[in-house]
Amino acid sequence: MTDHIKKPSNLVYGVDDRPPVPVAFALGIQHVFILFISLIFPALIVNMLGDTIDPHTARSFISLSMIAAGISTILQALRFKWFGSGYLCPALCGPSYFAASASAAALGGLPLLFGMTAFAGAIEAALSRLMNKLRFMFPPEVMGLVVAMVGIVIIPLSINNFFGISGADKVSTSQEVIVGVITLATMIGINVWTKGKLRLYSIIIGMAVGYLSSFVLGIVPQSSVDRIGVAEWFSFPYINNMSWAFDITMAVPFVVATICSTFKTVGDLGTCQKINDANWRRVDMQNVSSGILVDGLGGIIPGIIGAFGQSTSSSNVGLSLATGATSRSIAWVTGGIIIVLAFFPRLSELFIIMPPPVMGATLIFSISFMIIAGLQIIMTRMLDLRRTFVLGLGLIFGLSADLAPQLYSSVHPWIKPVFSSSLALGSVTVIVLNLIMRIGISNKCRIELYPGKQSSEDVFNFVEKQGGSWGARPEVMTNAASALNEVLESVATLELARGPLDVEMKFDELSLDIDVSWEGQPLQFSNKMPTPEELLENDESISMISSFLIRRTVDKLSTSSKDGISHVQLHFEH
Amino acid sequence: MEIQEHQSGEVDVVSISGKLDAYSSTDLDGKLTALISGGRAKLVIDCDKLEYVSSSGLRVFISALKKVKKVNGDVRLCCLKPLIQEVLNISGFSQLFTIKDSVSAAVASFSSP
Repeated sequence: MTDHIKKPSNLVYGVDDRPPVPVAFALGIQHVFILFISLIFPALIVNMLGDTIDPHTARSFISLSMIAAGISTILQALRFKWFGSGYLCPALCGPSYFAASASAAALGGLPLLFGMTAFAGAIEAALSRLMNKLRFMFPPEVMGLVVAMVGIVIIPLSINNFFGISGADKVSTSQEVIVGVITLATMIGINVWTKGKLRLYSIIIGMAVGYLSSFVLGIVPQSSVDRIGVAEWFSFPYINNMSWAFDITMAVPFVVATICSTFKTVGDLGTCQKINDANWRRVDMQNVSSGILVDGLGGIIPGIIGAFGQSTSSSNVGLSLATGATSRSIAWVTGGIIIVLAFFPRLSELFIIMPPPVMGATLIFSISFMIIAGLQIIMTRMLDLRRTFVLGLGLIFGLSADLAPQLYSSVHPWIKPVFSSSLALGSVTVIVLNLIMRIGISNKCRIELYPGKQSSEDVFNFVEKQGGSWGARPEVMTNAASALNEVLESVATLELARGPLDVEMKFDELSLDIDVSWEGQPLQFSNKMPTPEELLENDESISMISSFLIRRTVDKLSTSSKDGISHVQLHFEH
Repeated sequence: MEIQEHQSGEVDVVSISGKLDAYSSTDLDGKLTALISGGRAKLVIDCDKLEYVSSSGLRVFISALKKVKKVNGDVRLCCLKPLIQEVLNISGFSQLFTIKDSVSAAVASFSSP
């Protein structure tokens, strides 16, 4: 977050707004629909374990995962100095944990899965304390790619479901395509062409239309409908013979999964910061650190109560942006609803039987915003060749995990999570490459400029080239180049220097400082702005304008002169 | 910087592109002075492709304005990018010059009373 947080105009309910309870409830339901999609992961673990666990434990594992998601969602919306990001950033069963969780379950059943999940959570909680020091690993353009990948990684799941391809069902029917199109068109239509607060409900209305058309077109299997009838109204979830185990051979895959999950959460929280602040400039790592601590608890809590590991949900962040409602009070309602539903299996079934095309349309709708948000973050910075390669290679190798998964089929199981998705591989690639490409980049540079002999083109080229290598904000570098050129022209016009101007630029993420020195007389900055009449009548008055053009762009300006050497110091906040 | 010129009735439209600084302002000053010396007093400067203007560039604008005012002419600016508009606002030039959104509006403004 920046010092001056400004609610973006596209938000109906910003992070600190409090929508009325019925509105918050309706918005919370939308989030719950998306969160239910992730219950596929504990469901797959249950299927994998088969008869080795009793039916009540199997159902409870899923219900307890819902409770863990609800608790994590609520905790994430809290805002203390070291705990909670204060954003609507719901938690769900983390895809990053699936490969490691499946291995643990196969090796030591649920006890090992719970023990290792708690271990992973503890690792992430410890990692959260280091986030501030690791800031250099996450410059905005790297964060932008991670955010974009967070959306891109969901494309295969969303597009397959959109066409009705899900699980064992590998055939797409025309009815399923029609339902997908109707659902998506309804959401987009309401979002784009309606006025007022109807946009808030674009997802839930689209889903309602999708459910209705699914029943009308007969794409909901009777078995799904029957599941609602046989499910219990109330059930208290618990794991029979609850126990925990730890296996050192599982430590590496869970640590790798934790790192992948942490990267994703940094991306999600960075997006939350950006979409809630029109003045956003860079990721607030202190806030991210507080959010990662909660994400770590999203591993510890499930491990203790007997649930699947939780991580922040990119789709839900996309949903909040799409609907223009990012109020953190929606997080408390969402968490509350999903916890309550965990005790009412029959109600939960209504969410679980969501027809695949409806699910696919909802995901496509949400991730569109996520991907574009990531690209926008990338474009806030200047990109030189090094940074272009960092991002390009991160994107290409990241996508290869989903486009050509067979390439990585033989990697060691310990590092499998890194190659398990575009997000994991893309994030690791872009962060490692960024660290490598930082080698040889100095935060200082120097140039000599000759008054009267060099044009603004030379000044802009020098400043912009440095801006690219530093990944600076383009508007700050443009201001710096304008101010520096004005100094050069003023010194030339007034014939103040006996030789070249020595220019030293120093950059860090928070500021840019330029020191211009020359042998000769100092440059005087006028405090009086010439009137329009003076401009027309007095030729000298135009010289005074230069002072104002410099002051327009800098945040701090100072001059000095000693032993015949004159200095102008330009300071820019970044 | 590139300078192009065409006539639209009694009005001369001078289109400039790139960066207008101390270095390039000599060319523009020469072009505008030549037009004014040739009896052309209704000038439009099309800034659609102007990326940057320094105080030296502004000096050329005001110099041309002073010259045409003596023969009851005017210099009008059009198609300013936000950054250029901001520079003109800060320098007080927006009070001296008639500024229009398009070339056609700037040319037409010479016909209106």
